[in-house]
Amino acid sequence: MLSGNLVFAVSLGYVILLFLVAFWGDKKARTGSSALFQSPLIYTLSISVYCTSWTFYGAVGSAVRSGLEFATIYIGPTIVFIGFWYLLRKLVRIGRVHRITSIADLLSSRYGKGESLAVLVTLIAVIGTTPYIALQLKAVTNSFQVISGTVVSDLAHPVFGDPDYTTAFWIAFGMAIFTIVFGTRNIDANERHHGVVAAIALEALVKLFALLAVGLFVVFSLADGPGEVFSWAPPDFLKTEDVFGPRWVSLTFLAATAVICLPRQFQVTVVENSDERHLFTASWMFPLYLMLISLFVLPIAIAGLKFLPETANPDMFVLTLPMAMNQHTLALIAFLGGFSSATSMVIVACIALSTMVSNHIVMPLALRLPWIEMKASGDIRKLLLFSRRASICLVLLLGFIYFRLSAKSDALASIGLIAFLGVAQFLPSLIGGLYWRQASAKGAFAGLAAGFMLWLYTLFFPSFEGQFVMPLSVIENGPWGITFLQPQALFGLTDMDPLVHALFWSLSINTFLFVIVSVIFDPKPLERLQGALFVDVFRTPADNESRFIRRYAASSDLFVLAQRILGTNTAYRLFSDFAKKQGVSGHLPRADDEFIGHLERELAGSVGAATARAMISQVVKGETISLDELMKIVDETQQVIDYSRQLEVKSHQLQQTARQLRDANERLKQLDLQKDDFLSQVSHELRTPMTSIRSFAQILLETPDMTVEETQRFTGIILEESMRLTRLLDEILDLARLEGEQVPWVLQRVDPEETLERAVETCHGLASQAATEIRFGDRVGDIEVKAEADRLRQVYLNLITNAIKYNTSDTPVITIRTTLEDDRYCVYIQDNGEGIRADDRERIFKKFSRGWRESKDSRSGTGLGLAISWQIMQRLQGDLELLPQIPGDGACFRVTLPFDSIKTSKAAE
Amino acid sequence: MTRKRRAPVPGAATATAIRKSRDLAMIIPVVFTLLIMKPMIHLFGPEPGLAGIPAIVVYVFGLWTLAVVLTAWNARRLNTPETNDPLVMDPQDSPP
Amino acid sequence: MTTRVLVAEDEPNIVESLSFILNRSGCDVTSVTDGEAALTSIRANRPNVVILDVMLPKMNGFEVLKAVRSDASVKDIPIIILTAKGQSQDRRMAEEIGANAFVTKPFSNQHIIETVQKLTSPSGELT
Repeated sequence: MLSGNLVFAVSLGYVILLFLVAFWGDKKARTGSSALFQSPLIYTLSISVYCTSWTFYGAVGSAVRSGLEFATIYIGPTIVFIGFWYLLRKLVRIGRVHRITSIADLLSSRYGKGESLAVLVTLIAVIGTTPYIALQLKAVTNSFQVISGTVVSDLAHPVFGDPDYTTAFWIAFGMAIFTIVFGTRNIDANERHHGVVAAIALEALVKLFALLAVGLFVVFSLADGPGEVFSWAPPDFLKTEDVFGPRWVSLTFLAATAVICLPRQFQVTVVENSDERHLFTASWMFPLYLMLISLFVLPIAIAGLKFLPETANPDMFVLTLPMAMNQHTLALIAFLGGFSSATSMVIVACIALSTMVSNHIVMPLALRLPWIEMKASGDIRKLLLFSRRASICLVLLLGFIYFRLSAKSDALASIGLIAFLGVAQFLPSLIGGLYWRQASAKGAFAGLAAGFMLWLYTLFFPSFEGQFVMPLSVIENGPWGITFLQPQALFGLTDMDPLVHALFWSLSINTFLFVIVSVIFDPKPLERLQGALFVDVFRTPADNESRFIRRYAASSDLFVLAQRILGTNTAYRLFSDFAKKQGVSGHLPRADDEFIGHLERELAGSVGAATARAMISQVVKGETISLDELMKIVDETQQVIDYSRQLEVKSHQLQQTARQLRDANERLKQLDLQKDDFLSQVSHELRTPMTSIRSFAQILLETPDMTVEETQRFTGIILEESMRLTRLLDEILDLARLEGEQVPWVLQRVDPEETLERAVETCHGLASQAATEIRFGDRVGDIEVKAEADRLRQVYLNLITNAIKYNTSDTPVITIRTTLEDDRYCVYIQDNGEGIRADDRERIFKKFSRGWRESKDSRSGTGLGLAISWQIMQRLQGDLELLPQIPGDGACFRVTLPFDSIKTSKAAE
Repeated sequence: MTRKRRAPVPGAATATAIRKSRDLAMIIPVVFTLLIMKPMIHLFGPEPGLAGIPAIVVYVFGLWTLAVVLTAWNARRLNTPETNDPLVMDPQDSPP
Repeated sequence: MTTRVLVAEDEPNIVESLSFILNRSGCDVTSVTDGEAALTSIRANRPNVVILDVMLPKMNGFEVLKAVRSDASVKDIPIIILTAKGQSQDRRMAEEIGANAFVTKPFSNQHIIETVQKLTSPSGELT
């Protein structure tokens, strides 16, 4: 036992130290050298306010009762922080951009800045937190009594005496003073509570140090290392068989939810955040803190079971174990650790709750009360500060009363988890609000209200075991004996852990209603706007708001409003800064939409979004939310996302198109070259006969003494060349027509054999002139093809005359045979000349490319015949090919045409 | 990622590195959650694992430490001025 | 002394008209119908002037011209390039390789004769 006076003196000294640290922190922050208080380390330590006396003392108790289960309370937050990229990052950004003051403010702001939602959230937060604060009071009071031995001298029954309410009251009083002094120094969320944060950080270090000290003492002083400690453990101490069931998952989930939704956690993580980057550090450092806090819980629990009497309260092992071992200094350190965990929680919770109560309950009421006439500078600020201070006292008083009423019951033991589930009701609306545009205020309200009711009914009231509101009979048998409505076996869901049961019903109904109501009732324009700004916070700056809300106000009216809330100096600075930004001379900026939006956000940092909006609305006129604009632009971000997805697809398509264009361009260039080539060839081909004509015409003109024979001969040449010219022009035109024609030819039934014979007949004169024999080989006989007889004949004629004209053989022979091959009718026209040279074979179907170097009559070729024939065959859906050269044979051309299958059988007969 | 290696303009290399870190930041919590739940956690029991400490305790605290170390390592890489630049982080989501 | 002219041209009618007008202006005309024959004839007969068509079988006019200009024994023989294409790039190419004159088809008889006379006169080059 330590003397009560010593413990009191040490506690007082510690409290004074905290005051000094807080005072120093505030002073440093005011003089601008707040680097230390804005460091990621301090930020992380302040988040450790998560670990309350419930952790400090309760974790060991929990470990004694349920083995490893205690770890879930720390694993949940670990998941949230190592997964900060998912949620915390967005939450912190939104908190900063929209000047969020509390979780109630966040939800209210997201869902159209309505007041009713904020009131509901505040209510839930207060009801959930008050017992939690009572728990801290109880823990501090108990620990004080235990360590100073004011209860009983027997360690076996340290806590079951009457709590010392006087001590508890003065502890509460001291905390109220501290919180009021350092927590309500200013009202702007952006001017953070540096003093408080500094003190909380110190307390975080103290509690970690204390728990580690006790743990190290157990492991290395009482035992010889961790192995020995665990060898003391009773059989099935860890309860590994049962502990990982639904409760493991549920508790992890609850703890994860709590570290986001608990008002005090929201306060330190989001509201007090001075730099988003601190989150990067907290993402690992806070889990590390939790891991270290948990590290010695099991050894302390095991040691407590071994060294302390069976009746000793496991919830006090951290304190009683050093005492039992006569380690008074260690016991004092442990006491200070517990004291730190309790006070830091109470202080931050009070700040968070008082902000919510004053911003969302007191202010809206005050503004409605007609007899509260406030027109002086800073009057609202004064009211706010007063209401904050009053709220702090009220919350602590509530906690004290709660403690006074229920101190003897065991109800407090589980209040930590009960509070967790209470604030977990915020989760669906919070997550939905951050990621789902359609989420509406009605949905959030419905879900929250139903979840809250179910929480009260299934967990909160039953936890009093019949001593508060809900009689024991209702808990055991259901209201009016209806077992179907039994609070802990609702709708017949029996055999479930009460916490898991409550969690299941409250959160599933909450989520269900939130989603369904949101889907049924469309969000109002302002909700829609806020939804877009929140969901797309990383893409949309907050001042986008001013694009949609059209408001008009006199700058002077706005100034009066601003100075009432912010005080004259701050308001003056705000206005003149903005005026400078606008480039307006004087100190009053133009009251445009942008400025009104900016001012509203600044005010929201003090009084919350709902109140700020209500106040601005009193001053401005003609507020319209441009619905068209809103709908258009709210969907704009969505469109941008869609667009960029499309863009990705499009850029791929574009690449393809670019490639196709490049190819097309290449082809065009080629075509252009071919065209140039063609024109130049046409020019050449035309100039050649023209040359002869001009030259001989000149000779005839200028040579008077010419003989008759010469005259006749030269005139003949002129005639011949002019005919060649005509033929050339005809063929060029023919080819141009063939190539340019888009309309397919109407093909008729033609007997190709007959056409072939007529063509051969036509060529007889030329053949006999050249002493060429035309032979027929095998013939198909009776057949019909779809073709155009004249064009087909033209092809035959061209091939036969070529064979005649360019046949260099001494005994020229042309062999023509026809066959059916597969579905095709084929005509082979072969000569016995020297054939076509290999390097010419490729281009003989091109224009102006004569395949024959030597001919008997070089004058008559135009070089277009084969090109024309090839074109014709393409138009007839057939083909014209030069067959591979067989040495010793001449050139052999094959004409193929698809033939009419109806006639095939007849032809085959 | 050191300052020297970072391109002066949010270049492709930096963006890729940050995006990798971002993906890792999203994967670590998921994997951790899966490993700390059934059935994985059920593979370990009260039998001594390391230096007389039960295997399950070694597993839970080992996993915890690993998650912290990985997150710390990754957070350092992620904490660059470009991280919050939407053009770098979400190029597919940013306005053209 | 009679001017000996070699006409290298594969169009018989053009050869005939050129022979006729050049004969009448007192030249001695030899004709070939392909490039190889042209080169052989130039080396063998060293004509006073060559009228060289571009579009010749076996070896085109430019190839012949190049071969002549790089053969020390015949490189000074004046050569008139005759072409039906008449594009500026042909003309530029002809000048680069070293043609002394460039005549496009259809030509004026008078112009051909004047060109031949100028190239064979002692004052030499045609401007």
